[in-house]
Amino acid sequence: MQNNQTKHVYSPPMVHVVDDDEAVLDSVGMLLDSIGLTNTCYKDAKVFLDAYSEAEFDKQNGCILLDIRMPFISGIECQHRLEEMGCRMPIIFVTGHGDVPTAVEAMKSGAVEFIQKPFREQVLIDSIQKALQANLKDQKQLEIIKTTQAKLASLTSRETQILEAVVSGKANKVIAIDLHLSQRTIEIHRAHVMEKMGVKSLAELVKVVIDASPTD
Amino acid sequence: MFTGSLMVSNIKALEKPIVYIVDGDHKLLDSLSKLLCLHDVIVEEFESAEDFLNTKLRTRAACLIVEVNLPNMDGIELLEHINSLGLRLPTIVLSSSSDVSEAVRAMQADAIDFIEKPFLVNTLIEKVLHVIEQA
Amino acid sequence: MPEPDKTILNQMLSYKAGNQETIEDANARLIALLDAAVDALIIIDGKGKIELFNSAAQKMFLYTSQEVLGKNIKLLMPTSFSVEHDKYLSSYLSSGEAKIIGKGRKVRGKKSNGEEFPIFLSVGEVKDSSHIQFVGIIRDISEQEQDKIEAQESRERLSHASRLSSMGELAAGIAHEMNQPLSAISSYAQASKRLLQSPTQNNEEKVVAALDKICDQAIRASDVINRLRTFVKKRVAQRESVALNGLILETVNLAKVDTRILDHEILLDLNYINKPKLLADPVQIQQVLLNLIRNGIDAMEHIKGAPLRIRSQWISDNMIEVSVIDCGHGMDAETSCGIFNPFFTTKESGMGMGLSVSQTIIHAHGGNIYFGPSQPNGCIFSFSLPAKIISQENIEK
Repeated sequence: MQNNQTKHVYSPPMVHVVDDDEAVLDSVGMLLDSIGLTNTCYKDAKVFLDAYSEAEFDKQNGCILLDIRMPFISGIECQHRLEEMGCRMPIIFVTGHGDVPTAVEAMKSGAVEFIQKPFREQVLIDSIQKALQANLKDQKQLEIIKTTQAKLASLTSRETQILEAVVSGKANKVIAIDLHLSQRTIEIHRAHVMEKMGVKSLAELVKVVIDASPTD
Repeated sequence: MFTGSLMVSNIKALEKPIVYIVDGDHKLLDSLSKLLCLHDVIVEEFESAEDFLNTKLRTRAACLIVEVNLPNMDGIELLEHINSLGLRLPTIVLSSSSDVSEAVRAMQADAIDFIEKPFLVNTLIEKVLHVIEQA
Repeated sequence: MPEPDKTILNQMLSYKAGNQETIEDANARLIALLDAAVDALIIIDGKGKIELFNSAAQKMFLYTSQEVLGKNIKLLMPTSFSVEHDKYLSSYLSSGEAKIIGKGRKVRGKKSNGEEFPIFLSVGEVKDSSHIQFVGIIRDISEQEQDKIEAQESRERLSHASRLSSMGELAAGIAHEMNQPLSAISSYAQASKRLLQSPTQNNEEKVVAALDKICDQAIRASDVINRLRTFVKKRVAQRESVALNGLILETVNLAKVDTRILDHEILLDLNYINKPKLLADPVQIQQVLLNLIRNGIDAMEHIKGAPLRIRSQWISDNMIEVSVIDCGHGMDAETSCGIFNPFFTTKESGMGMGLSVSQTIIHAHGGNIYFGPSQPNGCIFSFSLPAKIISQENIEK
């Protein structure tokens, strides 16, 4: 087990608002302030994308309110670029121009919600809460995967061989024959693997390994 | 698990795929059926969500096409219901009322696509064939 | 001027020597000519007294011969003309200068029931007679005038339909333009409500600021509507003095409703030193310019960031040219031929009337509309209009 784990500093979730209309940006900022949701406002997609690539927003819990119709880089275009950059923050589209094909495209590209202007604040609040919760869960999942992968990386190559064999259901005796080692050696390696992976049973080991493999 | 059995074995791949259509519009049901049959697809038609749910669903069904506006339970509720049963059935939602919030709901319920009526029938057929191929 | 036909005169002279019958024949022929004519034939003396009034004239003006013979020709003219007529007569008689003789003119006549109607009048002088006489031939052109008016109304209706069509195509954009201020108003209001739940001074100040902004946004929304309303209103074309630069700026604002414009910069190259002033119908000119702008954007649809240029320049002392320059793919020969034809379109939506109507409008204003390729690619669409330089005293700093 590693001692220098990352300390979890609590920072409030951040709502990133991107809209090229001055009045809309200002009013949504004011609304979010009045609700107590910390927010940052960006006057177009370029400014947001630049800021995103410099800081690393997705270490913090957050979500993005994105307009669709913006000059030069549209909302959908921005969504694609964020995906390319590996951004996992949930996107809520908020648009004054909603037609079904645009909404469907936005959702297909992974948006969590698509709200039409003008909207009732409850609709916005609910979507933001849902998005933030989902994001938190997602971040925790990622954290687990990262930790598990780190643990897997700490195994020696022999230990890795044995892990794969164990997880595929082979008995120690069979593994010993396959690898030309004594059963006793296998048992020792197996115990090391269990310890390094931080599990107590075969079932747990299998689960941890499966959870850590990429799903998308 | 249902999904498990959908991972077809080679033998099953030789059988014709099944597409379910749930829509009250007879003419549409008719024309879609005929066109899909030409592509060697078996089509089963239903006029309501209830009719559909009361039927035993076949494991090798490849696709579901459902209209939002149905007599009782609407198309999206049906899709949500199917999801809650743990079934994964690729679904294309059709709608005679073009409503953005409806489209969003359908996509949030994991629909593959949402198409407003009237639409070009060929486009829909292409999409269905694409879905079948992917299975 | 062609020589007057002296056949009848010669005949009459040669027979004058004594043949009563031939004089009767000549008379009979004259009467036949006068009665057969579809046009009104009237003869007056030097003072304007009516001496002859053929049957066509009687039918046209609804008077019998007896009712008008001996009366002044002014009787058959609307007041505005009749006042002038005496002057015309006396001026001709003194100066010999023909204002109307041999030329023909469109004027108005007045029937016995007071009804005024448009007529075409040609006047000749009776030469070699016992006293000064003038002959007038009058054609009733009411029907032609009516046809002209109807054609004009038809063009107006088409122009209007074309404007409505443009607006219809922009409907989604219009919805968006309205939704933005409405959304801001809604958010400011809801935020204010929350802030008032904890009424600190800071919060109250924020609410006041928000309320001001709500008012601004309401005006913004109504501006969008007003701009559109003026554009789509059904109206009779009216010529007025229009500052071209301002009109171009307004049109660019109107065009912004079309969202595709967001992907392109609009560069203006206008004449700010010798500012052009038009005598034109502003809505119609706006219609033409909007059409060209939208066509330019269409041409560059898939080329993001490409600028659309709008340029105005004097091509002569009194003609200004406005050009819309795109950097699209240009036009092929086939499209170039048909482009001004009604219903010709290369687009999926739209009636295809835009350029046809634009051409009608520009021609009606005394200008020309034309196009050509731009370098290195794209098209220049231009129209020219008669214009004056806005006078020095009106130039702002």
